[in-house]
Amino acid sequence: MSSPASLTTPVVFVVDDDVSVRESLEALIRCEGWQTETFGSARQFLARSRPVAPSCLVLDMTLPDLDGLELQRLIGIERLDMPIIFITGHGDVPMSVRAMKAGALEFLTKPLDTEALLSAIRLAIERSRTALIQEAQMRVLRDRCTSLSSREREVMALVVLGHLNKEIGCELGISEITVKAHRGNMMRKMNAKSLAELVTMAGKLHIAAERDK
Amino acid sequence: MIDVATVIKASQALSSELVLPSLIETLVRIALEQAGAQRALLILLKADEPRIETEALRAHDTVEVTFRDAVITPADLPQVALYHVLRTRESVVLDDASANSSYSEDEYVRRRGPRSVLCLPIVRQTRLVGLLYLENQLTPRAFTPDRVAVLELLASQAAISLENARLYTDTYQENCEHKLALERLRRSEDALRRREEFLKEAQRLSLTGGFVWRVPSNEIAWSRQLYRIFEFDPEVRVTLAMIGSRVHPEDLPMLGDMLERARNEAADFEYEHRLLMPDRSVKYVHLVGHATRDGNGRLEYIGAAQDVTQNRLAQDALSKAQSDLARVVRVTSLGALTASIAHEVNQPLSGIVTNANTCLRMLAADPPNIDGARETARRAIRDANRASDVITRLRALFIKKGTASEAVDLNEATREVIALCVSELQRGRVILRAELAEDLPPVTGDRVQLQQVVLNLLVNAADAMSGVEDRPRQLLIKTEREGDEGDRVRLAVQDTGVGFEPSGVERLFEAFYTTKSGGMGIGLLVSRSIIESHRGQLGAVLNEGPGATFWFSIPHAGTR
Repeated sequence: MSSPASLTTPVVFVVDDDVSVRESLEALIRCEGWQTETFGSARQFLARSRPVAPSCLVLDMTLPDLDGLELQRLIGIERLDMPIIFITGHGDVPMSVRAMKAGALEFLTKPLDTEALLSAIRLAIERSRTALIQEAQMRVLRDRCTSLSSREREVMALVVLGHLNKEIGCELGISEITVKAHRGNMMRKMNAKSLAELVTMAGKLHIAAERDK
Repeated sequence: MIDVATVIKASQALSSELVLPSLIETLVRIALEQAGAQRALLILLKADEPRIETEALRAHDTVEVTFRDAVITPADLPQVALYHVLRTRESVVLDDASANSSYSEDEYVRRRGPRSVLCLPIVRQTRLVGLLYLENQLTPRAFTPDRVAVLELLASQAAISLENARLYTDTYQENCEHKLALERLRRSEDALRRREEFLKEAQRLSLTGGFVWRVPSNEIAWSRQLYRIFEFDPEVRVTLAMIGSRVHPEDLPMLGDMLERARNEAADFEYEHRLLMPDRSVKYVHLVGHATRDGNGRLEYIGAAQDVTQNRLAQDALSKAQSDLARVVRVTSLGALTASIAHEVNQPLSGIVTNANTCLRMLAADPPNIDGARETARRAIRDANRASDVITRLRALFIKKGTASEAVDLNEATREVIALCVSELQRGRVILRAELAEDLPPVTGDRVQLQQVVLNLLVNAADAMSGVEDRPRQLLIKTEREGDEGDRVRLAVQDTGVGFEPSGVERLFEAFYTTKSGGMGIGLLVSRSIIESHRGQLGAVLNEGPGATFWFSIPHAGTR
């Protein structure tokens, strides 16, 4: 079972081997009202479990044990729930291009522009929140879908294509009445208030029958 | 009867001949004809010795003249007649030699049997120049008094002509020889002048001057170019004292030695020394000398001296540029040192900026967070000092201040460093053990720099163990001799910390890590450069157990 998207206080993770940077960022982030956890190495960060709250990662590109891009790969590229903001003392163009292509939200050079950093963190947290909510929603939909019987699923697949009950009966070799009954159960289990809503859900779930032409 | 016309013609013929060979031929022919003889011999005295010059023979209608240039033998003519003429300078006329009792014993007369014989002297002034011998084989009394008179006339004519001819020939020859000699002389002079010009030019172009030094008398001769190099008046005779006045004072002793040696051993020499000119400028002179003996066996040196100042200055500039470059290369090749410096300074700078901003926010909060603001301000100051430290340390290491070079006892230096951080280590619960070799030879280098490296390694080791809880935090410092001939000294720092990624070992040496553990030391990048400038190596290796060992190895003093 899953819990709905949490609206607990966002967490900003900071991974940088330089103590001046870590401490100063910690103070700044707390001042803004977010939670923060700082780490001196990639290894230490990876040991930390995945957060449930919206989060983001402020990550130095050149860490002693693992460089930033490597760590990003280890975390998982498509982690929309924890956007990455790269920071670096070097700052050359090829590095920044690589970082952005790798899906970073932002790339900042030290000494850090405080406003730019805070804007990036705010945006990151927004994105994280959205991603978490969507993930939660998807989980719910999937759960609902799982609870459908196979027949109900078949009906759903044809309904979202806009077929009439009669046609569906023909297609599946059952009476129209049976179709209606399945449809009703299905709509109830899916918690869809209208056909349009169902179509949207189906779209998210990638459910649609392939019609032979 | 004397045919005057013929005689005159004969006389003219004789006097017109200037060239000796044709004169002689003409003479004998005329004599033969005038005398009506069959055989004629012209005998000329050469260095008072009579020699047969020419022989003329009448055969039928022709007269054959043969140049003999031969010694006189009894087979040539009656000796008695010959000697008589030579002795008395009187003519000998024989009506019939064969019938003459005085000549009956004569070999020539007996063998050849001549009838009429005439032998007359050719006298010039009082000197006997030669003889004319004529004979008629067939007719006695052929040489009548008239004929003899004519011949005597011709003979005296001949004497003059012969002398003239000889004079002429001699003069002509002399002239020719004279002309040839002049020509040769002129050509020699030309060649010599060209050579001299060429030599002068070569000397001028190559700034080389020639000299001759006659050792016993210390006479010295210089070419013009050498005067120019030394800036002396070319009209003045050069002395050793004058030369000494130009030689650079620091090089005088060496030059003195050289001269002594040159005087005592007749050996070629080659030296380079400096000159100090009146305007205080310095010239470099390269000289070579070749020992030789003159006609009387006296030692003299012939040599050349070249002004190589330009060359020397260029070489010096090149050496300096090379060492400058080497130094710069050493500095900048250390993994983009500047980029690293910027990176390292950016860290505390970033801290300062962030802290200051946070401070402002805290003060702008409602109510203002005074304590928080104070804390952030304090941190900003700390970060600023840290940044300043980085720069100061780097300046001290690389810019202007070179590497000191002295004998360093690495054990003692290490003990000092340990004493410096013993309290820090204790606070970090680090158990320190030192195994410093007894027989460790001294190394040549900068004591302070080496201590900084040792400190760096110690601090890194302590850091690596700062998170370790499940095992003792042990730190071992070890010094020992190493290398095949024990010519290197090795120091190793072994810890029981977190170790490092094997693949990332090189990255460890690329950054300074000046801000690690409160900024107490320099980073591995700088440490490595220090060790490398001591002609050593710095490296890291993972232990078999937990942790890593960082080591460096440098050649000890006395190894090249």
